[in-house]
Amino acid sequence: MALFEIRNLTKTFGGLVAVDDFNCSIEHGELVGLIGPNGAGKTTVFNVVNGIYKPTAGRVLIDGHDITGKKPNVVAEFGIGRTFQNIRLFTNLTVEENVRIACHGRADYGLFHSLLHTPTCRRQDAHLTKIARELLDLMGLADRRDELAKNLPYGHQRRLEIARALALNPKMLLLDEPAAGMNPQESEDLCTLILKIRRDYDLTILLIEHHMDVVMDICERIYVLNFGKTIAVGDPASIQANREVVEAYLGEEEESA
Amino acid sequence: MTGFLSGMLITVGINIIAVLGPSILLGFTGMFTFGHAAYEALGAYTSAVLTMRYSVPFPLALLCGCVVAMLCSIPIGVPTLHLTSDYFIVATLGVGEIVALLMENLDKITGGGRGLPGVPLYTNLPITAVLVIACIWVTRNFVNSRHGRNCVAIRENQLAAECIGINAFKHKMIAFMISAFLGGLSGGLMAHYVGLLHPKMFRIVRSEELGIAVILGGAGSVTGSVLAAIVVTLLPELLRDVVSDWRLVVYGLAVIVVIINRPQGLMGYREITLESLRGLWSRLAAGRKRPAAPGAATTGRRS
Repeated sequence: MALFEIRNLTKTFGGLVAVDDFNCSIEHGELVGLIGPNGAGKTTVFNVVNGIYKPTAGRVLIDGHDITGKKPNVVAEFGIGRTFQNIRLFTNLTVEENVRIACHGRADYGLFHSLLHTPTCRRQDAHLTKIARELLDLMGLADRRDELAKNLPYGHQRRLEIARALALNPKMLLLDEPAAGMNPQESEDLCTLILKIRRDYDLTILLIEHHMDVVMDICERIYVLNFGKTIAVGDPASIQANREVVEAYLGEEEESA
Repeated sequence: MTGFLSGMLITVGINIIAVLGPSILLGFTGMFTFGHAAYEALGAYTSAVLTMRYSVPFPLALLCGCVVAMLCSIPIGVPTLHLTSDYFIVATLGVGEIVALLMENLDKITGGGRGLPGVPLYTNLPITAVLVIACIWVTRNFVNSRHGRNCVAIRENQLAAECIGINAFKHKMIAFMISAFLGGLSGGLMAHYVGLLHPKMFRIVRSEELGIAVILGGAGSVTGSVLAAIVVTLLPELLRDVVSDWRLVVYGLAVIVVIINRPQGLMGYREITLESLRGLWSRLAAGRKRPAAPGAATTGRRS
Protein backbone atom coordinates (compact mmCIF):
# COMPACT_ATOMS: atom_id res chain seq x y z
CA MET A 1 0.00 0.00 0.00
CA ALA A 2 1.17 3.49 -0.79
CA LEU A 3 2.44 5.57 2.11
CA PHE A 4 0.73 8.70 0.87
CA GLU A 5 -2.32 9.01 -1.28
CA ILE A 6 -4.48 11.79 -2.64
CA ARG A 7 -7.77 10.65 -4.11
CA ASN A 8 -9.97 12.71 -6.41
CA LEU A 9 -8.94 15.97 -4.79
CA THR A 10 -10.85 19.02 -5.93
CA LYS A 11 -10.54 22.51 -4.49
CA THR A 12 -12.54 25.46 -5.73
CA PHE A 13 -12.37 29.08 -4.68
CA GLY A 14 -15.71 30.57 -5.64
CA GLY A 15 -16.02 29.81 -9.34
CA LEU A 16 -12.33 29.06 -9.82
CA VAL A 17 -11.33 25.41 -9.87
CA ALA A 18 -7.81 25.53 -8.46
CA VAL A 19 -7.32 21.78 -8.33
CA ASP A 20 -9.49 19.47 -10.38
CA ASP A 21 -9.76 15.78 -9.53
CA PHE A 22 -6.10 15.31 -8.61
CA ASN A 23 -4.94 11.80 -7.84
CA CYS A 24 -1.56 10.76 -6.63
CA SER A 25 -0.06 7.84 -4.86
CA ILE A 26 3.44 7.85 -3.44
CA GLU A 27 5.33 4.83 -2.18
CA HIS A 28 7.53 4.86 0.90
CA GLY A 29 10.91 6.39 0.08
CA GLU A 30 9.93 7.90 -3.23
CA LEU A 31 10.96 11.38 -4.29
CA VAL A 32 8.19 12.81 -6.41
CA GLY A 33 7.98 16.14 -8.19
CA LEU A 34 4.91 18.28 -8.69
CA ILE A 35 5.38 20.79 -11.48
CA GLY A 36 3.34 23.08 -13.63
CA PRO A 37 3.18 26.68 -14.80
CA ASN A 38 2.31 29.46 -12.36
CA GLY A 39 -1.21 29.18 -11.03
CA ALA A 40 -1.47 25.49 -11.86
CA GLY A 41 -2.64 24.64 -8.34
CA LYS A 42 0.54 23.07 -6.96
CA THR A 43 0.69 25.02 -3.72
CA THR A 44 -3.05 24.57 -3.31
CA VAL A 45 -2.46 20.81 -3.27
CA PHE A 46 0.08 21.32 -0.48
CA ASN A 47 -2.23 23.60 1.45
CA VAL A 48 -5.04 21.08 1.28
CA VAL A 49 -2.80 18.18 2.35
CA ASN A 50 -1.51 20.35 5.15
CA GLY A 51 -4.94 21.33 6.42
CA ILE A 52 -4.63 25.02 5.66
CA TYR A 53 -7.49 24.66 3.17
CA LYS A 54 -10.37 22.24 3.42
CA PRO A 55 -10.83 20.33 0.15
CA THR A 56 -14.05 20.77 -1.80
CA ALA A 57 -13.96 17.05 -2.54
CA GLY A 58 -11.57 14.15 -2.25
CA ARG A 59 -9.46 12.49 0.37
CA VAL A 60 -5.91 12.60 1.67
CA LEU A 61 -4.39 9.55 3.31
CA ILE A 62 -1.09 8.93 5.02
CA ASP A 63 -0.09 5.49 6.20
CA GLY A 64 -3.72 4.40 5.90
CA HIS A 65 -5.01 7.26 8.08
CA ASP A 66 -7.50 9.65 6.59
CA ILE A 67 -6.28 13.18 7.31
CA THR A 68 -8.71 15.00 5.02
CA GLY A 69 -9.65 18.38 6.43
CA LYS A 70 -7.70 17.92 9.65
CA LYS A 71 -6.07 21.01 11.18
CA PRO A 72 -2.42 21.78 10.29
CA ASN A 73 -1.15 20.90 13.77
CA VAL A 74 -2.89 17.52 13.61
CA VAL A 75 -1.52 16.85 10.13
CA ALA A 76 1.94 17.60 11.50
CA GLU A 77 1.41 15.02 14.21
CA PHE A 78 0.64 12.45 11.53
CA GLY A 79 4.17 12.98 10.27
CA ILE A 80 3.87 15.47 7.44
CA GLY A 81 6.37 18.32 7.52
CA ARG A 82 6.49 21.12 5.01
CA THR A 83 8.30 24.22 3.88
CA PHE A 84 6.77 27.31 2.32
CA GLN A 85 7.18 28.96 -1.03
CA ASN A 86 7.53 32.32 0.72
CA ILE A 87 9.77 31.43 3.63
CA ARG A 88 7.97 31.43 6.97
CA LEU A 89 10.55 31.34 9.72
CA PHE A 90 10.25 32.59 13.28
CA THR A 91 12.24 35.62 12.24
CA ASN A 92 13.00 37.19 15.61
CA LEU A 93 14.23 33.94 17.13
CA THR A 94 17.63 32.40 16.75
CA VAL A 95 18.37 29.65 14.28
CA GLU A 96 18.59 27.12 17.09
CA GLU A 97 15.29 28.22 18.63
CA ASN A 98 13.56 27.85 15.27
CA VAL A 99 14.53 24.20 15.13
CA ARG A 100 14.10 23.56 18.83
CA ILE A 101 10.51 24.73 18.85
CA ALA A 102 9.75 22.24 16.12
CA CYS A 103 11.18 19.52 18.40
CA HIS A 104 8.64 20.36 21.11
CA GLY A 105 6.45 17.44 20.10
CA ARG A 106 9.08 15.13 21.58
CA ALA A 107 8.79 16.65 25.05
CA ASP A 108 5.76 15.83 27.13
CA TYR A 109 6.17 17.73 30.39
CA GLY A 110 3.03 19.53 31.51
CA LEU A 111 2.26 23.14 32.22
CA PHE A 112 2.99 22.68 35.91
CA HIS A 113 6.58 21.68 35.06
CA SER A 114 6.84 24.65 32.72
CA LEU A 115 5.75 27.17 35.34
CA LEU A 116 8.00 25.80 38.06
CA HIS A 117 10.94 24.91 35.80
CA THR A 118 11.19 21.49 37.40
CA PRO A 119 14.08 19.07 36.81
CA THR A 120 11.84 17.12 34.41
CA CYS A 121 11.38 20.27 32.36
CA ARG A 122 15.08 21.06 32.42
CA ARG A 123 16.08 17.52 31.45
CA GLN A 124 13.67 17.33 28.53
CA ASP A 125 14.61 20.82 27.35
CA ALA A 126 18.28 19.87 27.36
CA HIS A 127 17.39 16.85 25.24
CA LEU A 128 15.52 19.06 22.76
CA THR A 129 18.51 21.36 22.50
CA LYS A 130 20.72 18.36 21.73
CA ILE A 131 18.42 17.15 18.95
CA ALA A 132 18.17 20.66 17.51
CA ARG A 133 21.95 21.03 17.45
CA GLU A 134 22.40 17.69 15.73
CA LEU A 135 19.97 18.78 13.06
CA LEU A 136 21.76 22.09 12.58
CA ASP A 137 25.03 20.21 12.24
CA LEU A 138 23.54 18.03 9.56
CA MET A 139 22.14 21.01 7.68
CA GLY A 140 25.41 22.91 7.87
CA LEU A 141 23.96 25.65 10.04
CA ALA A 142 25.81 24.86 13.25
CA ASP A 143 28.04 27.93 13.11
CA ARG A 144 25.00 30.16 12.71
CA ARG A 145 23.13 28.73 15.67
CA ASP A 146 22.85 31.94 17.67
CA GLU A 147 22.05 34.25 14.80
CA LEU A 148 18.54 35.57 14.38
CA ALA A 149 16.73 33.76 11.59
CA LYS A 150 15.96 37.03 9.81
CA ASN A 151 19.66 37.83 9.51
CA LEU A 152 20.51 34.65 7.64
CA PRO A 153 21.26 34.79 3.94
CA TYR A 154 18.43 33.60 1.76
CA GLY A 155 19.83 30.17 0.94
CA HIS A 156 20.44 29.47 4.61
CA GLN A 157 16.89 30.52 5.46
CA ARG A 158 15.61 27.91 3.03
CA ARG A 159 17.82 25.30 4.62
CA LEU A 160 16.68 26.33 8.08
CA GLU A 161 13.10 25.81 7.01
CA ILE A 162 13.95 22.29 5.92
CA ALA A 163 15.75 21.70 9.22
CA ARG A 164 12.69 22.87 11.09
CA ALA A 165 10.43 20.55 9.11
CA LEU A 166 12.84 17.66 9.77
CA ALA A 167 12.71 18.35 13.50
CA LEU A 168 9.16 16.98 13.45
CA ASN A 169 10.67 13.63 12.58
CA PRO A 170 8.26 13.39 9.64
CA LYS A 171 7.48 10.40 7.45
CA MET A 172 6.72 12.67 4.59
CA LEU A 173 8.17 16.01 3.59
CA LEU A 174 6.45 18.56 1.36
CA LEU A 175 8.94 21.00 -0.12
CA ASP A 176 7.46 24.05 -1.81
CA GLU A 177 10.03 25.49 -4.23
CA PRO A 178 13.10 24.84 -2.09
CA ALA A 179 15.43 26.07 -4.85
CA ALA A 180 13.56 29.30 -5.56
CA GLY A 181 15.97 32.19 -5.90
CA MET A 182 19.05 29.98 -5.78
CA ASN A 183 21.88 30.08 -8.29
CA PRO A 184 22.92 26.88 -10.12
CA GLN A 185 25.63 26.04 -7.58
CA GLU A 186 23.28 26.52 -4.64
CA SER A 187 20.54 24.43 -6.22
CA GLU A 188 23.04 21.68 -6.92
CA ASP A 189 24.06 21.69 -3.25
CA LEU A 190 20.39 21.60 -2.36
CA CYS A 191 19.85 18.51 -4.51
CA THR A 192 22.67 16.73 -2.71
CA LEU A 193 21.15 17.76 0.61
CA ILE A 194 17.65 16.58 -0.29
CA LEU A 195 18.98 13.19 -1.37
CA LYS A 196 21.01 12.96 1.82
CA ILE A 197 18.15 13.73 4.18
CA ARG A 198 15.91 11.30 2.33
CA ARG A 199 18.43 8.56 2.97
CA ASP A 200 19.32 9.53 6.53
CA TYR A 201 15.77 10.16 7.70
CA ASP A 202 14.07 7.49 5.63
CA LEU A 203 11.82 10.13 4.09
CA THR A 204 9.26 10.25 1.37
CA ILE A 205 9.35 13.58 -0.41
CA LEU A 206 6.90 15.50 -2.55
CA LEU A 207 8.50 18.51 -4.14
CA ILE A 208 7.21 21.54 -6.01
CA GLU A 209 9.89 23.17 -8.10
CA HIS A 210 10.33 25.44 -11.06
CA HIS A 211 14.03 24.71 -11.54
CA MET A 212 13.74 21.93 -14.11
CA ASP A 213 17.35 20.88 -13.60
CA VAL A 214 16.56 20.14 -9.95
CA VAL A 215 13.35 18.30 -10.73
CA MET A 216 14.77 16.24 -13.58
CA ASP A 217 17.88 15.50 -11.59
CA ILE A 218 16.45 14.11 -8.39
CA CYS A 219 12.78 13.22 -8.86
CA GLU A 220 11.89 9.66 -9.69
CA ARG A 221 8.41 10.47 -10.78
CA ILE A 222 6.71 13.71 -11.77
CA TYR A 223 3.13 14.94 -11.78
CA VAL A 224 2.38 17.85 -14.07
CA LEU A 225 -0.51 20.17 -13.34
CA ASN A 226 -1.94 22.83 -15.60
CA PHE A 227 -4.95 24.93 -14.61
CA GLY A 228 -5.71 22.42 -11.86
CA LYS A 229 -5.79 19.42 -14.16
CA THR A 230 -3.23 16.65 -14.20
CA ILE A 231 -1.81 16.64 -17.70
CA ALA A 232 0.98 14.12 -17.29
CA VAL A 233 2.50 11.62 -14.87
CA GLY A 234 5.74 9.78 -15.41
CA ASP A 235 9.50 9.58 -15.03
CA PRO A 236 11.62 12.63 -15.92
CA ALA A 237 12.51 11.36 -19.39
CA SER A 238 8.91 10.76 -20.40
CA ILE A 239 7.81 14.11 -18.99
CA GLN A 240 10.48 15.93 -20.97
CA ALA A 241 9.27 14.20 -24.11
CA ASN A 242 5.61 14.86 -23.42
CA ARG A 243 4.16 17.28 -25.96
CA GLU A 244 1.34 18.49 -23.73
CA VAL A 245 3.77 19.39 -20.96
CA VAL A 246 5.98 21.35 -23.31
CA GLU A 247 2.94 23.18 -24.62
CA ALA A 248 1.76 24.00 -21.13
CA TYR A 249 5.09 25.61 -20.37
CA LEU A 250 5.89 27.20 -23.72
CA GLY A 251 2.43 27.63 -25.23
CA GLU A 252 1.02 25.91 -28.27
CA GLU A 253 2.60 26.66 -31.60
CA GLU A 254 -0.49 28.33 -33.01
CA GLU A 255 -0.68 30.67 -30.03
CA SER A 256 2.95 31.48 -29.73
CA ALA A 257 2.99 33.71 -32.78
CA MET B 1 8.52 59.15 54.88
CA THR B 2 9.07 55.43 55.26
CA GLY B 3 5.33 55.01 54.91
CA PHE B 4 5.44 56.88 51.63
CA LEU B 5 8.38 54.85 50.42
CA SER B 6 6.84 51.49 51.25
CA GLY B 7 3.60 52.68 49.73
CA MET B 8 5.43 53.51 46.51
CA LEU B 9 7.15 50.14 46.52
CA ILE B 10 3.85 48.32 47.01
CA THR B 11 2.28 50.23 44.13
CA VAL B 12 5.26 49.45 41.96
CA GLY B 13 5.00 45.79 42.93
CA ILE B 14 1.28 45.61 42.15
CA ASN B 15 1.88 47.21 38.77
CA ILE B 16 4.72 44.83 37.98
CA ILE B 17 2.42 41.87 38.58
CA ALA B 18 -0.31 43.57 36.56
CA VAL B 19 1.98 44.20 33.59
CA LEU B 20 3.25 40.62 33.44
CA GLY B 21 -0.14 39.45 32.17
CA PRO B 22 -0.29 41.72 29.09
CA SER B 23 3.42 41.07 28.66
CA ILE B 24 2.77 37.35 28.22
CA LEU B 25 -0.14 38.04 25.89
CA LEU B 26 1.30 40.82 23.78
CA GLY B 27 5.02 40.26 24.11
CA PHE B 28 5.14 36.50 23.94
CA THR B 29 1.96 35.44 22.17
CA GLY B 30 1.40 38.43 19.92
CA MET B 31 -2.09 39.29 21.13
CA PHE B 32 -2.64 42.89 22.06
CA THR B 33 -5.12 43.28 24.90
CA PHE B 34 -6.88 46.50 25.82
CA GLY B 35 -9.15 45.08 28.48
CA HIS B 36 -6.83 43.59 31.00
CA ALA B 37 -8.20 45.71 33.81
CA ALA B 38 -11.26 43.47 33.63
CA TYR B 39 -9.31 40.63 35.28
CA GLU B 40 -7.95 43.01 37.86
CA ALA B 41 -11.51 44.04 38.64
CA LEU B 42 -12.63 40.44 38.98
CA GLY B 43 -9.73 39.62 41.31
CA ALA B 44 -10.15 42.81 43.30
CA TYR B 45 -13.88 42.54 43.92
CA THR B 46 -13.81 38.78 44.52
CA SER B 47 -11.07 38.94 47.13
CA ALA B 48 -12.43 42.11 48.75
CA VAL B 49 -15.94 40.72 49.12
CA LEU B 50 -14.54 37.49 50.53
CA THR B 51 -12.39 39.16 53.18
CA MET B 52 -15.00 41.81 54.09
CA ARG B 53 -18.25 39.86 54.15
CA TYR B 54 -17.13 36.30 54.73
CA SER B 55 -13.96 36.86 56.77
CA VAL B 56 -12.01 34.57 54.48
CA PRO B 57 -8.28 34.63 55.29
CA PHE B 58 -6.40 37.05 53.03
CA PRO B 59 -4.17 34.55 51.16
CA LEU B 60 -7.15 32.31 50.40
CA ALA B 61 -9.24 35.30 49.27
CA LEU B 62 -6.39 36.44 47.00
CA LEU B 63 -6.17 32.99 45.49
CA CYS B 64 -9.94 32.90 44.96
CA GLY B 65 -9.71 36.25 43.17
CA CYS B 66 -7.03 34.87 40.86
CA VAL B 67 -8.99 31.70 40.16
CA VAL B 68 -12.21 33.61 39.44
CA ALA B 69 -10.35 35.91 37.03
CA MET B 70 -8.75 32.89 35.37
CA LEU B 71 -12.04 30.99 35.08
CA CYS B 72 -13.76 34.04 33.60
CA SER B 73 -11.06 34.21 30.94
CA ILE B 74 -12.18 30.83 29.55
CA PRO B 75 -15.64 31.83 28.26
CA ILE B 76 -14.13 35.11 27.06
CA GLY B 77 -11.23 33.37 25.32
CA VAL B 78 -13.20 30.67 23.52
CA PRO B 79 -14.95 33.04 21.08
CA THR B 80 -12.25 35.74 20.91
CA LEU B 81 -8.96 33.83 20.62
CA HIS B 82 -9.82 32.71 17.10
CA LEU B 83 -9.87 36.34 16.01
CA THR B 84 -6.87 37.84 14.29
CA SER B 85 -5.00 40.57 16.09
CA ASP B 86 -6.97 43.75 15.36
CA TYR B 87 -10.32 42.09 15.93
CA PHE B 88 -9.02 40.60 19.13
CA ILE B 89 -8.05 44.06 20.41
CA VAL B 90 -11.58 45.33 19.82
CA ALA B 91 -13.03 42.29 21.56
CA THR B 92 -10.81 42.79 24.64
CA LEU B 93 -11.82 46.44 24.69
CA GLY B 94 -15.45 45.39 24.81
CA VAL B 95 -14.85 42.84 27.54
CA GLY B 96 -13.02 45.40 29.63
CA GLU B 97 -15.89 47.84 29.48
CA ILE B 98 -18.50 45.13 30.09
CA VAL B 99 -16.79 43.99 33.29
CA ALA B 100 -16.41 47.56 34.57
CA LEU B 101 -20.10 48.18 33.88
CA LEU B 102 -21.06 44.92 35.57
CA MET B 103 -19.19 46.01 38.69
CA GLU B 104 -21.03 49.30 38.54
CA ASN B 105 -24.45 47.71 38.20
CA LEU B 106 -24.16 44.73 40.54
CA ASP B 107 -24.38 47.21 43.40
CA LYS B 108 -25.75 44.66 45.89
CA ILE B 109 -22.38 42.91 45.78
CA THR B 110 -19.92 45.54 44.64
CA GLY B 111 -21.35 48.74 46.04
CA GLY B 112 -21.88 49.96 42.47
CA GLY B 113 -20.98 53.50 41.56
CA ARG B 114 -20.64 54.51 45.19
CA GLY B 115 -17.68 52.21 45.46
CA LEU B 116 -16.80 49.55 47.97
CA PRO B 117 -15.18 51.18 51.00
CA GLY B 118 -13.65 49.52 54.00
CA VAL B 119 -11.66 46.74 52.38
CA PRO B 120 -9.25 45.54 55.10
CA LEU B 121 -5.69 46.73 54.50
CA TYR B 122 -3.89 43.42 54.43
CA THR B 123 -1.45 44.12 51.61
CA ASN B 124 1.98 44.97 52.97
CA LEU B 125 5.48 45.24 51.58
CA PRO B 126 6.80 41.74 52.46
CA ILE B 127 3.76 40.00 50.97
CA THR B 128 3.96 42.13 47.84
CA ALA B 129 7.70 41.63 47.49
CA VAL B 130 7.43 37.85 47.77
CA LEU B 131 4.58 37.71 45.27
CA VAL B 132 6.37 39.99 42.80
CA ILE B 133 9.45 37.80 42.86
CA ALA B 134 7.36 34.64 42.56
CA CYS B 135 5.37 36.05 39.63
CA ILE B 136 8.46 37.21 37.74
CA TRP B 137 10.06 33.82 38.31
CA VAL B 138 7.01 31.89 37.12
CA THR B 139 6.62 34.15 34.09
CA ARG B 140 10.25 33.72 33.20
CA ASN B 141 9.90 29.94 33.56
CA PHE B 142 6.83 29.96 31.39
CA VAL B 143 8.33 31.93 28.52
CA ASN B 144 11.38 29.67 28.52
CA SER B 145 9.39 26.44 28.61
CA ARG B 146 8.01 24.51 25.68
CA HIS B 147 4.58 26.03 26.31
CA GLY B 148 5.95 29.56 26.31
CA ARG B 149 8.16 28.94 23.28
CA ASN B 150 5.13 27.60 21.42
CA CYS B 151 3.39 30.90 22.21
CA VAL B 152 6.40 32.78 20.86
CA ALA B 153 6.27 30.69 17.69
CA ILE B 154 2.62 31.67 17.29
CA ARG B 155 3.57 35.32 17.73
CA GLU B 156 6.26 35.00 15.08
CA ASN B 157 4.25 33.12 12.48
CA GLN B 158 1.05 31.38 13.42
CA LEU B 159 0.74 29.36 10.22
CA ALA B 160 4.28 28.04 10.43
CA ALA B 161 3.75 27.26 14.10
CA GLU B 162 0.66 25.22 13.34
CA CYS B 163 2.50 23.38 10.59
CA ILE B 164 5.05 22.12 13.09
CA GLY B 165 2.31 20.72 15.27
CA ILE B 166 1.53 23.59 17.62
CA ASN B 167 -2.12 23.90 18.60
CA ALA B 168 -2.48 27.67 18.34
CA PHE B 169 -5.81 27.96 20.10
CA LYS B 170 -4.72 25.84 23.06
CA HIS B 171 -1.54 27.82 23.62
CA LYS B 172 -3.26 31.18 23.24
CA MET B 173 -5.72 29.97 25.84
CA ILE B 174 -2.94 28.97 28.22
CA ALA B 175 -1.31 32.40 27.83
CA PHE B 176 -4.67 34.08 28.26
CA MET B 177 -5.49 32.17 31.44
CA ILE B 178 -2.10 32.80 33.01
CA SER B 179 -2.36 36.50 32.23
CA ALA B 180 -5.87 36.63 33.71
CA PHE B 181 -4.61 34.87 36.84
CA LEU B 182 -1.85 37.47 37.25
CA GLY B 183 -4.39 40.23 36.65
CA GLY B 184 -6.59 38.80 39.38
CA LEU B 185 -3.65 38.75 41.75
CA SER B 186 -2.68 42.36 41.15
CA GLY B 187 -6.34 43.35 41.54
CA GLY B 188 -6.63 41.53 44.86
CA LEU B 189 -3.46 43.14 46.17
CA MET B 190 -4.62 46.54 45.00
CA ALA B 191 -8.01 46.13 46.73
CA HIS B 192 -6.36 45.32 50.05
CA TYR B 193 -3.83 48.08 49.68
CA VAL B 194 -6.08 50.97 48.65
CA GLY B 195 -8.96 49.87 50.90
CA LEU B 196 -11.54 51.24 48.52
CA LEU B 197 -12.79 49.84 45.24
CA HIS B 198 -14.54 51.75 42.53
CA PRO B 199 -15.46 50.55 39.01
CA LYS B 200 -13.70 53.58 37.57
CA MET B 201 -10.36 52.14 38.70
CA PHE B 202 -10.80 49.38 36.13
CA ARG B 203 -11.93 51.30 33.11
CA ILE B 204 -10.01 51.55 29.86
CA VAL B 205 -7.49 54.02 31.26
CA ARG B 206 -6.07 51.28 33.47
CA SER B 207 -5.96 48.76 30.61
CA GLU B 208 -4.20 51.33 28.46
CA GLU B 209 -1.58 51.92 31.12
CA LEU B 210 -0.77 48.23 31.21
CA GLY B 211 -0.61 47.87 27.43
CA ILE B 212 1.56 50.97 27.15
CA ALA B 213 3.98 49.67 29.75
CA VAL B 214 4.48 46.49 27.70
CA ILE B 215 5.11 48.46 24.51
CA LEU B 216 7.53 50.81 26.24
CA GLY B 217 9.39 47.97 27.91
CA GLY B 218 9.63 46.03 24.71
CA ALA B 219 7.56 43.12 23.48
CA GLY B 220 9.04 39.76 24.27
CA SER B 221 11.02 40.86 27.29
CA VAL B 222 10.00 40.07 30.87
CA THR B 223 12.63 42.34 32.36
CA GLY B 224 11.63 45.07 29.92
CA SER B 225 8.04 44.91 31.11
CA VAL B 226 9.14 44.97 34.75
CA LEU B 227 11.36 47.96 34.07
CA ALA B 228 8.58 49.79 32.26
CA ALA B 229 6.12 49.06 35.07
CA ILE B 230 8.55 50.63 37.53
CA VAL B 231 9.09 53.71 35.38
CA VAL B 232 5.43 54.13 34.53
CA THR B 233 4.53 53.95 38.24
CA LEU B 234 7.29 56.11 39.62
CA LEU B 235 7.55 58.82 37.02
CA PRO B 236 4.10 60.36 37.58
CA GLU B 237 4.63 60.21 41.34
CA LEU B 238 7.97 61.98 41.12
CA LEU B 239 6.55 64.57 38.76
CA ARG B 240 3.24 64.77 40.56
CA ASP B 241 3.13 68.55 40.82
CA VAL B 242 4.26 69.04 37.26
CA VAL B 243 2.23 66.52 35.37
CA SER B 244 -0.64 65.25 37.53
CA ASP B 245 -3.51 64.86 35.07
CA TRP B 246 -1.18 65.19 32.13
CA ARG B 247 0.10 61.72 32.93
CA LEU B 248 -1.70 60.04 30.06
CA VAL B 249 -0.61 62.73 27.65
CA VAL B 250 2.97 62.06 28.64
CA TYR B 251 2.40 58.30 28.20
CA GLY B 252 0.91 58.88 24.81
CA LEU B 253 3.85 61.01 23.71
CA ALA B 254 6.30 58.49 25.14
CA VAL B 255 4.66 55.69 23.17
CA ILE B 256 4.76 57.70 19.95
CA VAL B 257 8.43 58.56 20.47
CA VAL B 258 9.31 54.95 21.30
CA ILE B 259 7.37 53.51 18.37
CA ILE B 260 9.00 55.89 15.91
CA ASN B 261 12.53 55.58 17.21
CA ARG B 262 12.61 52.12 18.68
CA PRO B 263 9.61 50.07 17.56
CA GLN B 264 10.82 47.01 19.42
CA GLY B 265 10.56 48.91 22.73
CA LEU B 266 13.34 49.62 25.19
CA MET B 267 14.32 46.00 25.60
CA GLY B 268 12.66 44.41 22.55
CA TYR B 269 13.18 40.63 22.61
CA ARG B 270 16.10 40.94 25.01
CA GLU B 271 16.39 40.31 28.71
CA ILE B 272 18.57 41.79 31.38
CA THR B 273 20.46 38.90 32.86
CA LEU B 274 23.14 38.65 35.48
CA GLU B 275 25.61 37.66 32.78
CA SER B 276 24.78 40.66 30.65
CA LEU B 277 25.19 42.98 33.64
CA ARG B 278 28.50 41.34 34.47
CA GLY B 279 29.54 41.66 30.85
CA LEU B 280 28.63 45.34 30.91
CA TRP B 281 30.60 45.84 34.10
CA SER B 282 33.71 44.16 32.77
CA ARG B 283 33.50 46.16 29.57
CA LEU B 284 33.14 49.38 31.53
CA ALA B 285 36.01 48.37 33.73
CA ALA B 286 38.19 47.56 30.75
CA GLY B 287 37.29 50.98 29.45
CA ARG B 288 36.82 49.90 25.89
CA LYS B 289 33.81 50.06 23.70
CA ARG B 290 32.98 47.13 21.54
CA PRO B 291 30.91 47.64 18.44
CA ALA B 292 27.77 45.75 19.25
CA ALA B 293 24.17 45.29 18.24
CA PRO B 294 21.79 48.01 19.47
CA GLY B 295 21.03 47.47 23.11
CA ALA B 296 23.63 44.75 23.46
CA ALA B 297 25.60 46.85 25.89
CA THR B 298 23.12 46.37 28.66
CA THR B 299 21.42 43.21 27.60
CA GLY B 300 21.97 39.61 26.84
CA ARG B 301 20.22 36.91 25.00
CA ARG B 302 17.42 35.20 26.88
CA SER B 303 19.00 32.49 28.93
